[in-house]
Amino acid sequence: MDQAELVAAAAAGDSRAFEELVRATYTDVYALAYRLTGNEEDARDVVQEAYLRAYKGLKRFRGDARFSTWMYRITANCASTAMTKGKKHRHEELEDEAPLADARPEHDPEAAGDAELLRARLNAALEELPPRLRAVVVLRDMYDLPHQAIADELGISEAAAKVRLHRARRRLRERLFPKSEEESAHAV
Amino acid sequence: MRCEDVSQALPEIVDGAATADLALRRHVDSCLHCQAELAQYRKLLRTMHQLRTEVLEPAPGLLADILARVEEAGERRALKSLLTKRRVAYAGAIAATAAAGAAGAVGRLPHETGLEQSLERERHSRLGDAGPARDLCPGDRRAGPDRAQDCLFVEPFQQRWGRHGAIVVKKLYQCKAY
Repeated sequence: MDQAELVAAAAAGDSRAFEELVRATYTDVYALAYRLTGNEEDARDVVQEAYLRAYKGLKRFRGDARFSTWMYRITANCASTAMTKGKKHRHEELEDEAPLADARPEHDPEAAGDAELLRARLNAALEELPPRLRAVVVLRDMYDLPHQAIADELGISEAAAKVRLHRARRRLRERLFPKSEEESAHAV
Repeated sequence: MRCEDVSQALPEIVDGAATADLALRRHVDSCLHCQAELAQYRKLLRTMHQLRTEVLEPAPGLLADILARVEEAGERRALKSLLTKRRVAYAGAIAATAAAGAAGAVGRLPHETGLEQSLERERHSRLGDAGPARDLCPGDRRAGPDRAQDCLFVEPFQQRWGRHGAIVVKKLYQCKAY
């Protein structure tokens, strides 16, 4: 059975079909939850809650998107709810305008030309972002969700989602490609 | 256009979601600094997409936990559905019993002749209640058949669901004269 058939069977009450859907998607959903929450414990809670909501709302799934995309939206919503419930967030206290640029030239991945190092540094930079910025940039640039869907699931306006995306991209770029003194002088 | 203006606009136009105006494009075409910045944004987006394929392996037991929660929810839903069906069945049985009781009660009232039964039906019809489905009314018994119309049966038949699904039958009728 393909994913659409599994969804139809699960919506008709076939619990085995739903189990198959969970097996096929849970690692990917967990990865998203982890990226949104920034820690394993919260990610596990978010994933469980997301599948529970999916199970209860399966009949409302219209099938105009892939099941996995639908799960991403639910996961984003659950993560947003979890974050607003005042759970502990390691980086919530960071100010929006706090400088994140790493000025150490020996850590410049561009110079090293190492794609793996760049990914590792991007992961670290993502973890350092405030959760509300991280959520938008992950959902948009990693999972390709449209602005409106992101805004809906995070409970913000589309304009606010775009502003957050703009800030998040700037922060990440500054973190990954720190300016040399020469470039800083040029900017001034 | 200045580099600072371009720098402000680049995060929005790098993925093509917003279109760059002609002045901005001309500036980038002629400015190495802005070209470098644009290249960095493009590299950032490429790396973000690459991260998507990275597997973050969850700790063992997550799948079992998810399935257990879903199964639990499924059991609750099945139980709820079963209870709903039983409620409907109970309500049907209660209604049938009440109807049968109503038919029997009319015949059992010792003081009601055919005329009195007509008066009784008319009275209940006027009051808008469910009819003479009741035990023998003490008010009627005290006052006698000629006072029948003074006996007001004000409470209609009621049944309620208790908190745990049990049927609680409240008063069938309450006679004011009692």
